[in-house]
Amino acid sequence: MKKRPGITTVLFLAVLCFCGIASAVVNFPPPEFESSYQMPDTEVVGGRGNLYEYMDVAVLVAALGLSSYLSLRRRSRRGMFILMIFSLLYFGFYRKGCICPIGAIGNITLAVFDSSYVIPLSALAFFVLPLVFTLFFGRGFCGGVCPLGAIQDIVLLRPVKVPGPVESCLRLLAYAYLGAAILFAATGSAFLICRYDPFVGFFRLSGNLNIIILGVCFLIIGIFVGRPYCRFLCPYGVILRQLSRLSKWKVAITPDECIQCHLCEDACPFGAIESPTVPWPAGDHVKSRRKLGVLIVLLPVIVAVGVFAGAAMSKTASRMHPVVRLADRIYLEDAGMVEDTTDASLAFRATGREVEELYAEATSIQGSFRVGSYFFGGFVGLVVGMKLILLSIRWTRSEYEASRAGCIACGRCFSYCPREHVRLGKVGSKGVAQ
Amino acid sequence: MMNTAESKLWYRSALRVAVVAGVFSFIVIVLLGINFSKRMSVAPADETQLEGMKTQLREYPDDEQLTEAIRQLDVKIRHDRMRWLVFSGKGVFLAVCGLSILFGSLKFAGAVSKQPPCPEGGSTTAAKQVRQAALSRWAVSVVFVVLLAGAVLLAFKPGVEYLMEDTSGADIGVQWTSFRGGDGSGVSPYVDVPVSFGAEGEGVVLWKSPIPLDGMNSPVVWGEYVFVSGADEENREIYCYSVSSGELLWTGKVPYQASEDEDFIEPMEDTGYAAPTLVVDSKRVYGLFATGDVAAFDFTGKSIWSKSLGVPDNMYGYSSSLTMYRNLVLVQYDQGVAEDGKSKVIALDGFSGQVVWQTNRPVGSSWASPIVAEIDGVSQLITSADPFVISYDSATGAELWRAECLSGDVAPSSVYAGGFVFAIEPYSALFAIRPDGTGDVTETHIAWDADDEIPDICSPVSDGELIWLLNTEGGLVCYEVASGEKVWFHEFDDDMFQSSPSLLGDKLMLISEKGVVIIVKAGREFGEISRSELGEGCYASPAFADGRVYIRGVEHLYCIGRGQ
Repeated sequence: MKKRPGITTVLFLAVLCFCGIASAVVNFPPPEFESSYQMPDTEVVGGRGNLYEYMDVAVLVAALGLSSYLSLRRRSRRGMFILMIFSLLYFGFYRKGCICPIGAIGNITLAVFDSSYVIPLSALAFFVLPLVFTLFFGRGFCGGVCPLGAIQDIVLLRPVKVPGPVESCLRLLAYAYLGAAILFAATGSAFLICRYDPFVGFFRLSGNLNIIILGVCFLIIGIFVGRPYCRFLCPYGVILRQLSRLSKWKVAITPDECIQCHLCEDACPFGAIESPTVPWPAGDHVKSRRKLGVLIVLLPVIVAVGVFAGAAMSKTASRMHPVVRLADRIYLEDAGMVEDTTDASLAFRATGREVEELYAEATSIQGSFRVGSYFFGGFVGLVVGMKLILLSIRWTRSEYEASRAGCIACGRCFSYCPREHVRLGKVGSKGVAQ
Repeated sequence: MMNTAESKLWYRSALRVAVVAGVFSFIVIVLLGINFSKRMSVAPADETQLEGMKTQLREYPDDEQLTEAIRQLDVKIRHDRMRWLVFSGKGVFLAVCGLSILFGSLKFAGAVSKQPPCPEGGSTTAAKQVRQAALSRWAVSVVFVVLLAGAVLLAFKPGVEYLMEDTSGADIGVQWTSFRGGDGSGVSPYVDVPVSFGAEGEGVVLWKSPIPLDGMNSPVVWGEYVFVSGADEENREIYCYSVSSGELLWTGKVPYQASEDEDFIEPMEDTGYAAPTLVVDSKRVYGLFATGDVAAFDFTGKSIWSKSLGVPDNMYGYSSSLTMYRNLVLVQYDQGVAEDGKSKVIALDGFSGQVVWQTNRPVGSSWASPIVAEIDGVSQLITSADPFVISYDSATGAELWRAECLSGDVAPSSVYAGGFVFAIEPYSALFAIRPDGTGDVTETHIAWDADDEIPDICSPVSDGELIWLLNTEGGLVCYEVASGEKVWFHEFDDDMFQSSPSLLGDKLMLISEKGVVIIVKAGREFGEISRSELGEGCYASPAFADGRVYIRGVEHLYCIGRGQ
C-alpha cells in the first residue's frame, strides 16, 4: 500500500499558519494620578453581527451533520480527523473557544434561574444542537466537532489503557463538576466551566497563567491518556453520555458482523470498547444479586449523605459569589480583622450603599446556596448510588461493541476490524475468518 | 506501515522535523519563561515605587515635581507592560506553531510506523470480570468518601457571620449623631427629658467633666459615648466621654497635615479652631478642624484615618459641621469668594477617608452647616451660602435644585420641616422653599419669606406647624409654617444667644451665652416655664439622649438627668 505523505498533518499545519494571530486583548486601568482630565465615556465595541452568529450555528450544524455522516455512513477515520482539525481551527483558534456547548451549560442554567438574563439564541442553539444530534447519531460532536476534544486528540501519542476501576471512579468527577457548574451558574456566582476552561488560553494565545498551566498539564497527561478532560471532567460529556445511550443510530466497530477476532480489543484509547461477557459462576451470581439488593436499599441513604455534605459546604461555596465575597471583606475590614482594603471594597464604599443592605443581600444569596447545595449534594449521592448499582448488575454481551455511552465516534477502531477491510475491498472475504 | 523503504523515509523525516520543532519550541518557551520571570521581578518594584510616590503625593498634593515623576513612572510602567504583552503574544504564537509541528510530526511518524494489532488474546475470565466490578465499586466508594471529606473540610473552613446591628430608622433616629441631631433639626426624639435643673428643677447635673481644649462645637452621642472636640493653634483633639460616668475615656489627636506653604488665616476668637461639630456613626467618630484637618477614630480611640482637605480660606475661621449620609461623611467646604471657585461639597468614605465624590460650588465662604433630608425618596444634602441655597443628591453630589436668595455672612443652618426648607439670610429674611423642584427654583418654589427679627447666628427650629427663630440679641420670634404669618415675638432683655434653640415636645430649650437654660412653651402663645443656671458660659447647642441632655459649656461638658 502506498501511503500519501500525511495529507492531514500537512493540511493541519498549513491551515494553522493561516489561522491568524490571536492577539491578546490589552486592557489598561486609567491613570491613577488625579488631574483635571475628564475621562471619556467608555465605548463598548459592538458585538459580532447576527450574520456571524448565524454563520457559527450553520457551521456547527454542518459539522455535526458531517460528523454523523463520516462516522456512521462513510466510517472514515481520516474524514473524522480532518473534520476535527477544521473544528479546532474554526471553533478553537478562530472563534477563540467561545461560544461552545460546554460553556453554554452556564448560560442555559442562568437563563432558567434568572428571568432577567436573556440568553443569546446562538448560545441556545449551540447547547441544544449537539444534544439533538447525539440523540439520533451518537457522540459525533465529541469525536469531530469539539475543539477541546480535538486539541487533546492531537497530542495523544502513546495511549495507555486506564484500568476499569480507575476509569469508573474518575468519571464521577465529571458529574460533580456538572453539579457544581449548575449550582454556581444558578446562583449567579460564576460560569465555572468557562472560568476554568483549561484550553481556552491556547486558543486565545493568552490568558490566566494558572489556567494555562492547568491546560499544559492536561495536554501532557493527554499524550498518554486519551482525552483526559473529556472523559473525566467534561460536564457536557456527562449529558451526551446519557443521551448517547438512547441514540437511534450508533457507531459499530464492525460494518456487518463480529468475527470475535479480538483485533479491536485495544483499538480504542478511550476505553470505549466493551468486551464480550462470560457467564459468572453460580455463587458469584447470588452474591451479586444480594449486593445489588443492598445497594438499592442504600441508595436513599447515599443520597441523604450527599444532601448533608452539600448543606455543610454551602456557606464556603457561597463565597464564589462576588457579593458574598465582598460582604465578607467589608465585614472583616469594618471589624478591624484586616488592615488593608481592596479595590472592590473601596468601590463598594464609594457607592454610599448601606453595609447592612450588602449583608442582607449576601445572606439571601447564602440561602440560595443552601438550597442549591442540597440538590448538588443529593445529585452527587444519586450518581454514586446509581453507579454502584450499575456496577453490580450483570450485563451480557456476546461480541465486542463500542460502548453506547463512552464511544465518541472518532473512528479509530474501524481499521482494526478485518470485516471493514473486506467492506473497503482491500482484502477478499475469503481471507477473513468467519 | 513500516515495511517499505518509502515508509521508513517518511518516518525518519517526520522524526527529524519533530526534533527541529521540539528544539525550536523549547527555545521559544525558555525565552518566554525568562521574559516572564524578568517581568515578575522588575514590574512589582516599579509598581511599589509608584504606590509609595502616590502616598507621598497625598501628603504633599501640590508638589508638582512629584506629580511629574509619578506621571513619568506611570508611563514607563505602561510602556514596559505593552512591550511585554507584544513579546508574549508573538512568543506564544510561535510556541503554538512549533508545538503543532512537533505533535503533527510525531503523529505522522506514529501513523507511518503503525504496526498491525496483535492483542494478547484470551477472553476475559468470569473471575476477572467479577473482580473488576468489585474493584470499581470500591474505587467509586473511595471517591465518594474523598468528596465527602472535601465537603466536611469546606464546612469547617472559618466563615464570616454578619452581626448586623439594629440600624432600623428608629434606632438611628434616637442617636444624636451630628450638629442638632441626625437631621440637623434641633428636635429631640425624646420628650421625657429633665429640662430644668438645680434646686427647684426636675433634674440634676449627673456629672460635669472638664474639656481640655476650647471649642465651639456641640456634643454628639452614640450609645455609651458622648463626643466633643477641642483645639488650639498647636493641637486638634477629639474627646470621648462615658455617658454613665462622664469619665474622659480617650483623646484622639489629629495631626496637622496641610502642606507647609499653605497660608493659614488665624480664626476669630468667636469661631476658634474647633467650631465644626463632629459626626458619629455606629463604628466611628469623625472630626474636622479650622485647619482643614479631618480624621476618623473608632470607639476605642484608635485612629482610622486622617487627612487634610487643604487649609480653608475663611476670614472668620471655618465652622461648618459635618453630616453623614449612609457611610459618607459630607463636608460643606466653602471658602474665599464665589469668583475664586474654591468652594465645594465633599463626600468622604467613612471607612477609608477617600473622596467618593466632590462637587464645586458657586459660592463664597459660609459658616452654616449642611443638613441631610429624605424628601420624596431622595436624600437631599441642603446647603446655605451666599447667594444660593443648593440641594445635592447625597449619594452622588449631583445638584438637584438651587434658589438664589441669600447674601452676607451666612451662619444659620437650614432646617426641613412641614414640607419646606427654611433658609435664613442673616438679619434680613427667612425663606420657605419647596424642595421638590429642579434647576433654579428661585422664581417658582419660594412659598413665602419673612423679614422680622431674623437671626444672624442661631439656626431655627420647627415642629412642622410653627417655626421659631432666636437672634443673638435675645429676640425669639414664632412664625406659622404654612402661611409665614408672624404668631408672636418675645425679647429676653438681659441675655445674648449663640446656641441654637431645641424642641422637646411642647417645650423649647434656649441656652444663653451666660449659661442660662430657659424653657418656654412651644405653642401659639409665649410662656416661660423655667430657668436654670449652668454656672458657666455656653455657645454650643445641646444634645439629647433618653432621659438626658448634654450641654457643652465653655470649660465643661454637662450631663443633666434625673437624680436617684
